[in-house]
Amino acid sequence: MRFIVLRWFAGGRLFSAAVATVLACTGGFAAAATTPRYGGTLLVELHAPSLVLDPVKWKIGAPEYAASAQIASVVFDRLLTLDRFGRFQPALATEWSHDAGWRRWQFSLRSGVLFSDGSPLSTADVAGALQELLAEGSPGKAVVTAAGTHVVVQFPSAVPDLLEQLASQRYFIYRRAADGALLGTGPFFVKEFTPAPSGTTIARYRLAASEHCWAGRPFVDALDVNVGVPVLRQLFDLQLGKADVVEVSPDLVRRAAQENLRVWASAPVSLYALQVGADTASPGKGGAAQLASAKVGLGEALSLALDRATMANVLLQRQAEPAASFLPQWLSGYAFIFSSASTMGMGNNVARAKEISGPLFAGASGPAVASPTPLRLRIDAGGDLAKLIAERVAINARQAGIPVQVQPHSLTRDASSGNAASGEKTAETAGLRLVSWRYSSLSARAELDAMVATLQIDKAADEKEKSVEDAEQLYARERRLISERELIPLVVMPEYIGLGAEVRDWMPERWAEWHLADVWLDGKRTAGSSAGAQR
Amino acid sequence: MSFRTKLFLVFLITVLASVSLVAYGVTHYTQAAFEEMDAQRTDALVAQFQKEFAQRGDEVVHQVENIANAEITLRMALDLARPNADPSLYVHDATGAAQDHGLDFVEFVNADGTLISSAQYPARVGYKSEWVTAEKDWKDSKAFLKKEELPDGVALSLTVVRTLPVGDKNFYIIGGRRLDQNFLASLVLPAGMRTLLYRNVEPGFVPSALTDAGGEVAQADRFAPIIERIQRSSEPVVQTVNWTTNPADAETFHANGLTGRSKELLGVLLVGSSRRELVTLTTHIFEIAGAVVAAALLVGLLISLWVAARITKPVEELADGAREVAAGRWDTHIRVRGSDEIGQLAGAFNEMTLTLAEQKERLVQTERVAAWRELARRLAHELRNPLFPMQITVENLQRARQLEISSSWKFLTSPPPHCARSWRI
Amino acid sequence: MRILLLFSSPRAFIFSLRFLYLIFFAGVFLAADVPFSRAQNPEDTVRGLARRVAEIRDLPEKVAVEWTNVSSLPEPESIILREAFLKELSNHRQVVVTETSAALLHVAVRETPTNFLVVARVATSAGEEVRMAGMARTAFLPVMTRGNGLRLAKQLLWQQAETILDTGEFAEFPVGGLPGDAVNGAANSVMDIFILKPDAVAIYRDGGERLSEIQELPFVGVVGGYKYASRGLRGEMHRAKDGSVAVTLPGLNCAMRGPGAAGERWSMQCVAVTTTVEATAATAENAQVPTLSSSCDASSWRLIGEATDWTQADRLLLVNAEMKREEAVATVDFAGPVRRVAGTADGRSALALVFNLASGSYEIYRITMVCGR
Repeated sequence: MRFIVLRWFAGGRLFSAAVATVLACTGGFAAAATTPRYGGTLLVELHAPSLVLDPVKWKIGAPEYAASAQIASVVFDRLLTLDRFGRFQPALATEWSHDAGWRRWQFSLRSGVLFSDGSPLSTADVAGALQELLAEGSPGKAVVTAAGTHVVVQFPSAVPDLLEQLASQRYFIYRRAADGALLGTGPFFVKEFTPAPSGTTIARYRLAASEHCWAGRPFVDALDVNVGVPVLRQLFDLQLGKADVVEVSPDLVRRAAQENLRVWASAPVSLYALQVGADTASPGKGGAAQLASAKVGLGEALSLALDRATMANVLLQRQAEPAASFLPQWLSGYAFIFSSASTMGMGNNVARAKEISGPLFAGASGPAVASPTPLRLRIDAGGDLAKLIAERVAINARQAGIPVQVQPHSLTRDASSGNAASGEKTAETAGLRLVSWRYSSLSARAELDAMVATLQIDKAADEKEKSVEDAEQLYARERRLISERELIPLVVMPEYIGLGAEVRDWMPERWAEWHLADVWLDGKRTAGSSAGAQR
Repeated sequence: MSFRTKLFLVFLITVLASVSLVAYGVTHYTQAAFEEMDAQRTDALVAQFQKEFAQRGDEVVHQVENIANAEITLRMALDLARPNADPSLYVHDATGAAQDHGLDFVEFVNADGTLISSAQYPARVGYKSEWVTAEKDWKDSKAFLKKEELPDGVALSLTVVRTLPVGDKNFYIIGGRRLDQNFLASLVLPAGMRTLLYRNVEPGFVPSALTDAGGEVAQADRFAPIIERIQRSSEPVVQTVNWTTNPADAETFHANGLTGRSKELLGVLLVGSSRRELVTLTTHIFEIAGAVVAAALLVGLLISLWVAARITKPVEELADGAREVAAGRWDTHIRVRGSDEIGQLAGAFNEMTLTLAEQKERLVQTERVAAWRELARRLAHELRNPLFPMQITVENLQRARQLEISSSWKFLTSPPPHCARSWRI
Repeated sequence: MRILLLFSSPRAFIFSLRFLYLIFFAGVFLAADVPFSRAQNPEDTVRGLARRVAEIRDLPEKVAVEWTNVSSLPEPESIILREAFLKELSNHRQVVVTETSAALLHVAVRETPTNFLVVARVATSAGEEVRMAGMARTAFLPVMTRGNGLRLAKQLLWQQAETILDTGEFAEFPVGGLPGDAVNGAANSVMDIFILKPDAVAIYRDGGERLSEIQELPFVGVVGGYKYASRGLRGEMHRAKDGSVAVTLPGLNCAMRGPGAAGERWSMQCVAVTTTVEATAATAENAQVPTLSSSCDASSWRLIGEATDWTQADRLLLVNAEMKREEAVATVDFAGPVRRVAGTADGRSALALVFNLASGSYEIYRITMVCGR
C-alpha cells in the first residue's frame, strides 16, 4: 500500500491543518514517499552459481546465462533499447539509419559517454565490441567500421531486424582491456568480488554506482549480488528482508503469494521442449529411411500423447503456459494459431498415439515397465522443475505405449556440458532430450534462427527461406519445423521475481529486463547513504 | 616284525581309533546343536521382522490418520468437493504432508479417483487411481503391501488408506512407508545375519530388484533359484548359497514371500545367516580333534614305545640270556623285574643257569678229585721209594741227637741223596 | 488530435520529426520492394492484407469476418482498422456476411515487442490459410481523450508520450501577497497547470475543452552544463513559502516567479546542486498533507494509492481521517501507476499524474469529488 502525498499549495493555515490531519491519521497507513530517494544497497540474490559478464562467452538460449545478462545490463549499455510500447529508445547511439537493402547500418554515437574508469567511449570501442559480437550469431558475419562519430555495420545480406537484435540479447557495448577484462558505460561497475567461502556456494559481487553514467547516477549506491543462492533460501531471505530482489522458482510462486510477498512475473521467457533424438526408434533398425520415418512416427505419437495443459495448469500450478510453438506469443505474435486444437492436436489423444506407436514398439503394449528397452529421456537443465516435466513426459509417453526412462540431470551433465556444445552429441546419443531454452532476442526471426542452429533441429533448412522474412514467412517456417516433430514444445514459463517491501519503481520490461538502475529503496535503509556500505 | 613293533602298532592304532571316535562324536553333535540354534535364530528374526512390519504398519496408520485429521487436509477436501475446484492449488500439499508426518509416500485422491497431489511422484497428478475408489470402506483397514510406481522405478510400500468423507463423497489419503534398505537397516540383527528384500516387480528374476541393508547385493543372480521357486509356489524356501569354494562363505537363506492385498507376490524377504560361524566352529572342533589326535598319537607313540619297551625288555633279556647260555656261558644271570610272569620266567632262568653252573662245578670237582687221586697215587708211589732211606736217616738222627748235638748239624747239612731228589720234585 | 500531441512541446516536435523522418525513410525503401517493412500507414497495411486474403484460392465467396483485438491497440484504432479491412475485402468481390453458416474468417490483432500483427485465418478445402500483416506499434501514438467519472470523477487533462516528472496547478497571482493570502488570491487569479518535463517546465491554461500552452521555460541555458538526460523520474514542483514555485531536479534547483502584472510572463532562476542531495531534501518538504474537500460534506478527505511499482495499474481510494484503506468510500481506477497526486489551490480537486501502462504515455487527470451517484 502506498500513501500518495498530495501536495498542498494553498498556504499556512491549510498547511498546518493538513499537517495535523496527517499526523492524526497515519495509524492505518504506512506513509511512503513517491519521490525517489538516493542511497542504500540493493540486495539481489541469484540462483546461478557464478556470473559471466563477458557477453561473448554466453551460449545463446542457455538458461544459465540469463542471470549474467541481467547483471551485465547494469554494467554495460546497448546502442539502443526497446521500450514496452515498441519504441526504440536511443542509448549509446542517438540516431541510426540503414540503406535500401538493410545491409548497411549507420549509428551515430552519443557524445560525452564515459566508461566506469572515466575514459571516454569512442566509436572504435563500439566497433570493436560489435565486431566481436557480430562475428558469430544470427545476423550473419558483419564488418563493423568506425567513421567519425558514426559506426557503420555492413552485412553481406539484409538484416532488417538489426534494431530488435541490438536492443536485446548480448549486444552490449564494452571495451576489452588487454587482460580480457571488460569496461562498461552502464550505471554500475563491479567493485569487488568475494568468492564463496569453503562449505558454501554463495559468492558475492558488489557493484558500485557509477557517478558519471551518461543516463544519470542510479538511485542506489550499490548492488550486492549474491550468486549461488538456493531458490528456497532466496525466498526466506526475501521474507526476512535480507534480500530485495530474488528469483522465485515457479513452484514457489503460490507460496510467495500466500505469504504476501511481491512477485512480478515477466512474459513467458523460458521454453521447455522435448527433442526427439536421431536414433531413438531402436525397434526399427532397417535403414536410414525407415529410421527417419520411425522418428517422425515417434515424434507424432509423443506430441499426441503429451498432456501439456495438465503439465502447465496442474503440475506447474498455472505458473506456466502450454506451448504449441517454438516462439512465444509475445515475441512472434502468431503463436496462438498453433495453440488452437485444429492445427496442433493439443488435446492429448492417447488412443491415436497408441496406434502410431504400436508398430514402433511392438511387444510393449503390455505394462510399460515390462517393455524391452525404454527410451532414455535426458534432462538438459537442472532443477526440480525440469525433472518434474520430464517425469510427466515419461508418464504421458508410457500411457501411449512408448516406454521412456528419465535420466537424472546429474548423469547427463557430463555428457552434454551445455546447450550449444551438446548439439553434435545429440545425434550420437539415443533417446529423448528435455531442452530448456531461454528467449533472449527481441527479434522473432533471430530467436528462431538461434534455436534451429543451437539445437540442430532443421538440418534440411532451405537457405533461401532464411533470408529476409516477414511474419508470414516466419510463421510458415515455424509451422514446418513444428510439423517435423524433431522438437516438441511443451510449456513456456515466465520469470518470477520477488521484490522486497522497500523496493520502489520496479519498472521492468515484460521480456524480463529488470532495469535495476531505476529502482530505489524506500525506508530506513536509505536514511544515510553509508547505510548500504555498513551492511 | 618284532614283538615290540607289533605291540607298538597295536597300541598306536588303538589310541588313534579311540581318539578319532571321540573327536568325531563331539564334532558331529556340536554341529547339529549349532544348526539347531541357527535355525531358531532365523525363526526369531523372521518373527521380529513380522513384528516390526506390523509395528511399522501401525505407525503408518497413525500418521495417515493424523494427516486425515489435520485441518489443512479437511480444508483441501472441502475445497475440492466444490464444483470447478482448482486442483492445481494442492499439487505440492502431499510433499508437505509427507515431510510433516515422516512418511515416504503420501497421495491425495479425489472422490473420482483423480490424483490431486503426490509426494513420491508429483508428475502423476491428474491420473486416476481406481483401486482406491474400488474399495468401499477403508475405515480400520490395516497397512498392506503395495507396489509403488516411482519416477526411477518401482518401490514397495507399506501403505495405508484413509478416507475423509465430505458430504456424500470421499477424499482419500494414501500414506506409506518405503520398504527398502533403510527399512532393512532399521532391523536389529545378530552378527552374521542379514536380511535381503526382493521387489517382485517383473516376472522372472531381476538382480537389481534385490537389496540388502547396504544397498546393492553382490552376485545377486545367485538368488535366482530361490526367488524363482518362491515365484512359482509362494512357499517359504530354505536354501544354502555357497558364495565361494570356501564353505565358511556360504549362507543359508530363509525366504518368505510378501504378498499384497490381493495375495499377489510383491516381494520376497530373505533372511540369511552366515555359515561362517558354524563352519568356523566346526573347523575349530576339527582342528582341536586333529590336534588331540596328533597329540594322542605322539603320546601314544611314546607310551607305546615305553610300554612296549618295558614289556619286551625282560623277554629280550631272557632271549639274550638264553643265547648266552646257548653259547656256553652257564653262569648267565638276568635281572629279575617284578614278580609277574616275566619276572618268574627270569627267576626260573636264573635258577636254571645256577643249577647248570653248580652241576658243572661239581663235575669239575669230581674230575679234579680223580686227577688228584691219580696224582696222589703216583706221588705215593714216588714217595715210598725215598722215604725208606729217610726213615733210616731220621732214626739215625734221633739216635745221633741223643749222642751229641753238634754232630747232628753236620748231618743235616749234607742230606742224603734221596732227599735232594725229593726237593726237586 | 494526434497532431496536437505531436507538437505539444519543442522536444516532442523534434521527436515527431525524427519519427516522421523514419517513416519517410522506411517508406522510400518500401517502394524498393523490400518485403519487410517497418512503417506504413496502418490502414494501408490492413487493406493490403485484405487484398491478399481475397486472393486466397478456394476462398468461399461468402465469408463471415470475426475480428478480435487481443493487444494493447486501443479499441477505436482497432475499429478503424477493421472497417478498412472489411471495406477492402468487399471491394475485392468478397461478400462479407454475418451468417454463421458462411466460412469464418478469423482476424486477430496481436502484438510483438515492436509490431502489431493482424492475422487472418480461414479454413479452405486445402486446409487452413493464414495471412499476416505487421505494422509498427509506433504508428499508433497516444491519443488525447477526456473522461468522466462518478463519485470520484477523473478528467483527463493532458496526455503525452514524453516523460512528465511532476504536475501542479498554481495561481499566477501571489507575487507580493503573503502565503496565507494565497487562497484568496487564488480565487481571483488565473490558475495555470504546470507540467515539469526533464528539460523544461511547460505552463498550460485550461480552456475548458483543451489545454493550451502559454509558456515553456527550458532549463538548458539557464544554468550552464545542465544535462537533463537523467535517470528516473524525479523532479518536483511546489509552492514555496515566498510564493514562488520551487522546482527541484537532479542537479538543479529553480524558482519560478509569477507575472507581477498582466501581460508579463513567468520567470525562472536556477542554481546547480549536486545530484544526490536535493531529492532527499525535497522529500521532507513534500510530506505535506493530501486533503480534498467538496461541497458534499464538511470533512477532509484523502486520496491514497495502492501500486508500489511500475508494473501495476493503480487506483486512488478516497478515505477520511478515520477510515482504513478497506473502508474507502470511492475509488478511481487508472491504466497505470499514479506517480503523483498534487492538491490544487482551492482544495476542490487534485491533479494525478498517471503513467498509462497500455499506451506508454503520461496522463494528467483532474480528480474531483462528485456528490451522489
